[in-house]
Amino acid sequence: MRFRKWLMKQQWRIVQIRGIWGLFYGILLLAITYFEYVPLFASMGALGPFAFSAALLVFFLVLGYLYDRVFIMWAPSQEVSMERNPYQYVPSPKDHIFWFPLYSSLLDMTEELARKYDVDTQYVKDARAYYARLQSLRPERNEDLDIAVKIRDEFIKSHRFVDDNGEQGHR
Amino acid sequence: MHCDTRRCAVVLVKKWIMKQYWRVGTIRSLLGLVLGMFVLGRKYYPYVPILADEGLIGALVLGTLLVFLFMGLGWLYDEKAKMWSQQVQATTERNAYQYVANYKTYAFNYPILYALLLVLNKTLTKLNLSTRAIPDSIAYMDIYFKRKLVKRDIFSALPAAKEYMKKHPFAQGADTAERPIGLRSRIKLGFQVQLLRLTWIQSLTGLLQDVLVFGALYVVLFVPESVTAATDTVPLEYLVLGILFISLPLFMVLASLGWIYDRRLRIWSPDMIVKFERNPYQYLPEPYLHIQLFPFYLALFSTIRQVFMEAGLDATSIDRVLAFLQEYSELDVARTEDMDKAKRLRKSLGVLFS
Repeated sequence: MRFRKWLMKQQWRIVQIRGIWGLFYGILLLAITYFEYVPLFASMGALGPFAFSAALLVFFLVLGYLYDRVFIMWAPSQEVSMERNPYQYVPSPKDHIFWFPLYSSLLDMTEELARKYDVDTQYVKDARAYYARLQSLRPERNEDLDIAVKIRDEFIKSHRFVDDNGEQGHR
Repeated sequence: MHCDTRRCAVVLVKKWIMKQYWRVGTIRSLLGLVLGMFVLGRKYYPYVPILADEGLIGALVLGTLLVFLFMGLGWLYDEKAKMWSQQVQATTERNAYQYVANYKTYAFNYPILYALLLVLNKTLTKLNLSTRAIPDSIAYMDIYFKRKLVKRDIFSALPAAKEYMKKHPFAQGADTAERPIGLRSRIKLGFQVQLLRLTWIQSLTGLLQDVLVFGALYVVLFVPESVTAATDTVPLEYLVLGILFISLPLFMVLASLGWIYDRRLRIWSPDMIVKFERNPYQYLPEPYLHIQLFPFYLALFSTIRQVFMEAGLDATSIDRVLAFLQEYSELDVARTEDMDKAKRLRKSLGVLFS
């Protein structure tokens, strides 16, 4: 296991450096293919591709600044990625193995305490019914993703923390 | 999974394809750097004075030197500079879902938080034990779950959380002042931010760059007479032809394939399933659970157990969950067989939410 971990550490390092290097590699390849057609850089001889690469790099960095600071493009970009992750809708192995047992116990205990003091436990019953449906959904079935979105939206719509009148626990 | 329908078989085939894709990707990431360096060595050795006249040997020497250079850089990046810390920081700060609830938070956390907070609030009110903490928390959650993926909501989330924590600190009198950050860390973070920005722009323009290079290189194959023998270069008019008739059509084809991949085949679903199934932390506790969640849940369940005993309620179910947490926390990602143990441990709890 220690050797395998060592090997994977080397892989991680290679992937990291390759990721960084890959950014410049593409630019260098583009520059060496096209620099001869750009008069300013074509006349520079051996320095031409490097100078063209540097110019492209500066251009990309300016674009990166606009992407990051001006247009905040990372937000919609992550939204697109998030939408395409089935485990955003249906339970992952971790949810089944760790989170659902905890959720189930927390709901049971809360219900028991509430019942002891004669408090309405409908909130717990609703949440339990919701999770019972959710845990039966599988990522392999595309229609399950649609069902997950439907039951999630229904729950949120009918169970709001604070309603329009400012009352807590509207149901 | 039961697979008795044609659609289910299609899903299995897609999953198989994605498994192969994952394997190829893993091997590619291992070999990609080496191959990339040799391609670069072949392209650039004529511009390196000592190696320019050495031909193939020059290309191989330059490629090998670059491989060692980048292996060394990898070691420095990891061991000396520990750049992975600022790398994750730069990425996390620019993760919109660190500020706004994602789909999973709505689907998985909203119902449990809703039920627990509201029932707890009612119970405490009934026992005349109500404090401002629970109603404030409910109001905070209401605002949190109403935030959308827009600039104003994203940038107001952290100040709102800090304001809430000032009002409800973990310990009274706790020092909540922010500690200054050193210059070295700031420089490292600045470097990682620039890299991240380049990554975004490369991912936006990468396909276009690839097809431009492809068009310029392959126009020679389709129009052999386009190469000027004297200079071994392609005249501009042929280059334009290469872009118009190779690069742009190829770009359109690849873009259409992307649409089919996303919309028609929905490959992202089996792709993610394969990745999740190959993540051991999907089955076993990760450091985050040991560091943050186990201490919290241990304290929570132990306290509730005391309350149950005081109230004369049966605490067997709490003992069961405490035993589950104890056993689960002892599982180790270093032992492959513990993944099966984790699955068996979950099954031993029987049907949930019944």
